[in-house]
Amino acid sequence: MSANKVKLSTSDQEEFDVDRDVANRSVLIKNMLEDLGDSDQAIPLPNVSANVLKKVLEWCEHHKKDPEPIAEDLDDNRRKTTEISDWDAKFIQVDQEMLFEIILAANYLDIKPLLDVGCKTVANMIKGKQPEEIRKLFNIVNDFTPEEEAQIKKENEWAEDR
Amino acid sequence: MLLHAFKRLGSAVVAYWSSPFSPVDPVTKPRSDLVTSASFVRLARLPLELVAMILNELAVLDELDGGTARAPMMAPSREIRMALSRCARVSRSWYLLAREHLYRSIVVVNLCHCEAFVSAIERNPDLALLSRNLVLFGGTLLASPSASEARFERRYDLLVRVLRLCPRLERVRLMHNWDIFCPLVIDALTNLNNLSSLYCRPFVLKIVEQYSSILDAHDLLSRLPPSLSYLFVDGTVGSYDFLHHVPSTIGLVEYRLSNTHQRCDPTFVFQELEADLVEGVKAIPGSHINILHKADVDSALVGRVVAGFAAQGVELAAIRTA
Repeated sequence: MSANKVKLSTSDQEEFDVDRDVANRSVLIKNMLEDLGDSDQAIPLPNVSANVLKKVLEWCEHHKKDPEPIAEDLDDNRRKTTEISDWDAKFIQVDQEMLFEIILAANYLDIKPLLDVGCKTVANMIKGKQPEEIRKLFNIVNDFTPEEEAQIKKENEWAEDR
Repeated sequence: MLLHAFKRLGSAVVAYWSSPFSPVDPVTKPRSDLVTSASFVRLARLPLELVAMILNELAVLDELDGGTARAPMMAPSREIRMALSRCARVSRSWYLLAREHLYRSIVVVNLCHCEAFVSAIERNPDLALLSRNLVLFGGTLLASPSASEARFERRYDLLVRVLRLCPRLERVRLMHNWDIFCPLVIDALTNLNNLSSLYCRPFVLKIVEQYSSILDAHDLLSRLPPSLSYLFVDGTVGSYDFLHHVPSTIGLVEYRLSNTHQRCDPTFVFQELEADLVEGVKAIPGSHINILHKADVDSALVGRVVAGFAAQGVELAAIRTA
């Protein structure tokens, strides 16, 4: 295999030949490549299936020339945003299951900018939803008693300005 | 971001054991009715650290009206506050993650909500310890002549209680005619050991006539927390004398002179500026002075004020016509 190519092996035993600069968008893969040195061995990615890796690699290919992300400062005066670039917004227009798979894969592969895109997308989905709708979105059981939920609603009523 | 999310998650897990609810497994639980769903296998394993990151992205700060270029007012919008409030009711684990964001930056828009907020932090003082930023609206209506005395006093009582209950506040913005020279308010501010920024707009000196002279403000100002490095006041006629009394420990002062108030005689204001303000301002290193004046002020008069500042080596950040 060319020195500029790496082989990735998915959980469902598919193999992908990928440009090294594309694969290097993943900090996990980058570190593994550095540890392995020159090797034809496929890098196993047991937590990522082929259809998800294909999607992740599509993102990595588009963003392969992006600068390394800088550490985020936590200053409360800093403007934060939930805006997503046009390309990323189109890329992330997938069904909910795939969206969560991409987030899980980005987290596992340590691709912070992709993880940000996924988390921002889900954050935007949460806006305007009632608690029960959010539970459905995340498949979460309501473990509050009705009294506890009412207590929290009262506790935070100052934030529910209408 | 990852580190931030883990830190938040860590503190949430610690807070979990001190939460007011009976303990259950803090892992996001699956809905039993969705066990057979194709997406269940994955979604049920969504780790709490990813939920923490999603809520971190949700809790964005917007630039609200009322800030300045040097001190933009960054606060969660109404939509975000409501979303975080609803996330807190999703489950026990979500409650702990969402409340960290919800109570970090407090925006209280009226007296009614202020009472609800005070009630919440009095019932659960742990919530008050999460607060770092406070934006308090609600001055204008209550400062009107029609506002009853009791209601007026209630407003200041609530402000003082908020300041005393939230000792970790770092940035305080009081919007709409609060008087920071009210002795009770200054007393409460002195307890904020981490206070770095105090913003008061508009600043109305004579709204509480508990002291006969601005000179009384000298002692009060000297008690402001030493951590304070940014003070913004939007002054109206006669209020700029306070600049003489700002402690030298406060290195950055932004003072906006505004004579657009209907009751002000702009010519009178600018004559006073010539005589007094320039002398007062020069002692404050790093001060930035903005002048906002009515269009009918004589331009020659404005020119003389500007020249007076220049002669004292004081740079004017902006001169604008209202």
